[in-house]
Amino acid sequence: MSGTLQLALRSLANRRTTVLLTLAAIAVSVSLLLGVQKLRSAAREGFTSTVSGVDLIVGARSGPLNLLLYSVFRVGDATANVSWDSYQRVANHRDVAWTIPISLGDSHRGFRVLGTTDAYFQHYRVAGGRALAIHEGKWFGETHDVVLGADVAEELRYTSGQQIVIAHGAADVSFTQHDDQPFRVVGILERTGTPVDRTVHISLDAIAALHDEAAPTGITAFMVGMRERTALLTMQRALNQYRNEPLLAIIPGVALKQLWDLVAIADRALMIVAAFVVFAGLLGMLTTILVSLNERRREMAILRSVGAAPRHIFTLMVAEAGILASAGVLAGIAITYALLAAARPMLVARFGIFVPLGGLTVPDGIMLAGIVGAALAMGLLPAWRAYRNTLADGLTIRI
Amino acid sequence: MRLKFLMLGLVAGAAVAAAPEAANPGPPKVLILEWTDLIPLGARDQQSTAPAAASHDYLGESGPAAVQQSAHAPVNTELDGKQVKIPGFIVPLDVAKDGTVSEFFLVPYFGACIHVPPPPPNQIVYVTSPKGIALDSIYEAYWITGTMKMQNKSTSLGAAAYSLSADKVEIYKY
Repeated sequence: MSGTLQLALRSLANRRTTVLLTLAAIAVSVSLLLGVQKLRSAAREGFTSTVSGVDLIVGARSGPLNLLLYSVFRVGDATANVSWDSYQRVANHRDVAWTIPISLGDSHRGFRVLGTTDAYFQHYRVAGGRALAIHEGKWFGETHDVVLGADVAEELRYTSGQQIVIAHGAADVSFTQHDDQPFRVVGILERTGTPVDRTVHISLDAIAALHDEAAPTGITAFMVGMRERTALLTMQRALNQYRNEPLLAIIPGVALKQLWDLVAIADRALMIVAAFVVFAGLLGMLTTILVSLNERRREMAILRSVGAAPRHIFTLMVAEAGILASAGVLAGIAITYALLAAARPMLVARFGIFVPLGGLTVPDGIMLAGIVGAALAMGLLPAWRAYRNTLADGLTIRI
Repeated sequence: MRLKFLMLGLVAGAAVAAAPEAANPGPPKVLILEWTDLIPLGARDQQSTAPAAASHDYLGESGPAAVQQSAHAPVNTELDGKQVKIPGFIVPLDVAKDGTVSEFFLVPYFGACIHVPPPPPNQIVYVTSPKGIALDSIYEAYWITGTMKMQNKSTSLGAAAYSLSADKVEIYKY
């Protein structure tokens, strides 16, 4: 067997140009498939780990996905504010343990500003229950204190003590700056891999002060933690039917699931495309081997004449397909990791997707083994033809 | 066979539920539950499993705080500690990093979230699944098998609630 393998390797080495090209085709297609797989699982993780430990998110009545997007992902905008009165009524309800008020709408050089209270730091959880942590400095205490997410500090090169100005609106550039009221950076948060990293946190009072109000009159949304989750569904219902003001309450788990189901369509389509590319790569390999059969009639004949049995020829061909596919898969893995390592900083900065470089997962392994398996199965075809031909072919001159 | 045990269990309570174990050594018998089984026998007439009335009073919009809405939704204490299997819909509460759900509500009808008022507390089971389940769709029903526990809770909705630690989760087939 090892003799056959060696023969197959030598034979491949002899035809290195076509072999290398075939190998490259397989490697590129495999790295595409693997890359898509890695990206989608990273996107999914980043996605589902964005918010945790919150029982309800409440905002003005719009749609569940809209509310989830602006309150958690800082994408899109709210339709209206929630009145301070309604917020207080819920916050003081006996079944409610804590609430986190959120006030959005201002920005600092393209990063969204979020007005909140200490409750945010205490109760907000990311990635399966991880609390927020201070990397440098402290959480805000005074009205004009600012706490930055890790990305904000890194990209703008801010450190504690820096003076900044908050702008009205959420764009990169703004022409209405609240520059009469400078803020001071007092703390920078530990990186979380979530939109928190791209947020500028200030106090609710500061938001009010920016807009010339003595005290907050409304907030954009708030998060609720129930004392007992048993009352959760009733609370959600009561909020959704609230008569004093149109409110919307969503359970983050449900909304995340709905949003993910939506995203998963594109995700699945990508995966199918990638699978087809791999299939095309393998077909290319099959073609190359089949074509090579003709030029190798003499090779086969010599092998036969020095004593190789037809079954040896058969194994030789299958082994060739196996070697090509395995080498292609290995090269594909190498390309994927090299590309990911190179693109990681850009992916985090531009798209907020944190791709862990960790090893291959079990599904990845099964998928890759499947590719090699498919290649071996495809190798049966040229093997069969070579087996048939080799009985008589090559020794008799036909040309 | 299982249905018979269930019927007996409903009539005679805990005594019968213990009996099959004696007759049938091996793994403990799993009680297959319907949602009405979660309401104690005596209260079944007063409480229908249909959706409850509007819940305006819960937030006390019409005045100062709240007359309790359906204040008593008693639980069937006979189910405490039993191995049970119950079908229902999943309302995910916490989604883990890999997208699996490890904490969720099991409710008798879908839309327990939005379209109709939520079920009373004794028609909600709080389920924890240490392994986490890969939830395909929130529109699908599941069988949950595990150990039922009563928990004392004091909310304005009731004093106790069901919780279940799930050993097995299967898709419900019609």
